[in-house]
Amino acid sequence: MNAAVRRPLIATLARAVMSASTFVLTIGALGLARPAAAQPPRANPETTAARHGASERARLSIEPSGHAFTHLSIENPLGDVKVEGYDGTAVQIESHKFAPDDEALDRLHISLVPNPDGTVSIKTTADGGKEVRPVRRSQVRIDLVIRAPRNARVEAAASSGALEVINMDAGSDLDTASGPISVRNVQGDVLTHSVSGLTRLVQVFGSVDAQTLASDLDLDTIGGERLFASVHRGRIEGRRVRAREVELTATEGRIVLEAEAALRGHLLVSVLNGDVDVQLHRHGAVMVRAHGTKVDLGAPMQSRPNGWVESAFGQVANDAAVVEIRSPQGNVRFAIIESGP
Amino acid sequence: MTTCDKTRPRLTAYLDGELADDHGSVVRGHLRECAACRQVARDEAALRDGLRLLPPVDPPASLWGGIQARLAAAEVADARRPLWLRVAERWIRWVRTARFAPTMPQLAAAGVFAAAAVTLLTLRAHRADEPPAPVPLPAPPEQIVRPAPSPSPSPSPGPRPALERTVEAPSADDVVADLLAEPARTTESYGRVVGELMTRAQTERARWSDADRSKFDTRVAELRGEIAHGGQPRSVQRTQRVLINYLQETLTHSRDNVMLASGGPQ
Repeated sequence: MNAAVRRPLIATLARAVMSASTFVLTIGALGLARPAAAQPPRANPETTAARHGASERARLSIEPSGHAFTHLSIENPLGDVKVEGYDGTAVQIESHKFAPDDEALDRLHISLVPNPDGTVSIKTTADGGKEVRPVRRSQVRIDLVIRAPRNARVEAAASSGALEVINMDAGSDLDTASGPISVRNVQGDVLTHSVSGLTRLVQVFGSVDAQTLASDLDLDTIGGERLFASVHRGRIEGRRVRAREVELTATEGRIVLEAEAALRGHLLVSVLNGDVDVQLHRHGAVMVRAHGTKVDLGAPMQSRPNGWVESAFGQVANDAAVVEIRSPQGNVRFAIIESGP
Repeated sequence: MTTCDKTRPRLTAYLDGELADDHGSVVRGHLRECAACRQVARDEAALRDGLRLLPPVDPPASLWGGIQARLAAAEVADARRPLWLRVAERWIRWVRTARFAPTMPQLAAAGVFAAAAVTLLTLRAHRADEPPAPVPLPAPPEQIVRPAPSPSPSPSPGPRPALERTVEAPSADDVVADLLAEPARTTESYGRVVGELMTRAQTERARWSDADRSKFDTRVAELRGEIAHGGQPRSVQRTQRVLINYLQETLTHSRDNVMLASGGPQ
């Protein structure tokens, strides 16, 4: 039977009320099918996903029974995950599966486990067996769009799919292999790790720990106590960064930072092999130390015997911000952007 | 009243969810009252959880070949046995399984019939001097076509999640096999970067003081130990990330006399 008419139900909101005990729902059972042409996969259109012959969309909403949902754990190795915070209490999940045919579509599953302690676990899997026809991973896909209470912490893992978290107030812990990570308007501690996915953090108000091995890291409007970011091979670019403790590290790559100095703040930028370019808005005194093949601090510098150069901006006292820049095999450029009076 | 002796043999089936409702309820009821049986059930559940965490083991390729060879040998032996013996064995098996309880006249009639049949068949069998029909031998182990085993992670893969363990990949090209192999691939990616940074550190360490070298070696050994005993791939990767950060920090500070003088790599 054609995928388009296999489940000709119109998607309705399936509302599951949590019982006190843990239970598992398979969202696929609540879904409906649409032709792939009508709803092509959102991401990676050039992959074989665009040629999918069957798709299925499902929506599910879970209301808490007692404890509010405080923790969302998502594992989707088969596609994208987007989590958006909102002011409600329910967790609303929209899933979209793609596969070459109905048989392959039926092998894709989403398990949902709401626990009484306020944790909701969502996991996608594909089942198999000797009797089923092999389907390549690039031919199947599950995308998840989740609306969650703002004050739930999000822990999500994807593979080559994109991870996106928006408008959450309790931070997140995100992990991908090659998929991009995007965090926007999130409060609380944010941890991101990716092997080779572009990582972009915008408007994060809390401590940040971001790491990639082979991709760029983009930071925009970061405010919090600490910002730790590192790339092995790639570029770190930060704008409007204001954290008391900032530590940016790259093995091979370039670091470009536009930051604001906090009183008694400490900004440490280190690149083993690459250039560093830091622009700092200052409101008080700043002490800058740098070490590199070629160093330009934008002001008269004092050279130390150990190869470091220093420069002071303003009346340096105990509350001065300290900037340390290391680029043993690269150039260092530093400039102060004077703020208002 | 259910006793412990009656309950304990059923615990395995109970934990497997294989007991019917009423039996399950009886066991559950006893467990509520009996602390000793409860402890036994808890221990068994813990043991099973531990077993679940063990990585799956692919049987050696020769195993199936050996089984097939033994089956074939048994079939050959079966084929070489006289027919009357096979018929008699089958009849005995049937009597045993059917719990046949013959009356004396039935038994006597059957005995006469069987004796006649055996005599006839034995005579025929002895007359036939041609060798028994050849039995196809099993393919040697290397020729047996087996589904490709799921790729096993090379560096301390750790146990797979429960959901993944229950599935069986139809082939290495299948999505399931790919998903199973992914944690190992990611661990390997982190491992490669660790290796690269370690190589750089080895060339840099000549510049360090003995104290710094010792501190570095201790910290690296500690983290590598955690990686080796890491268990779950996520946990291994987390420690690998810590090691990468440590190596990056060490390397970028390596030529920093100020930092080394004030304590070196942390």
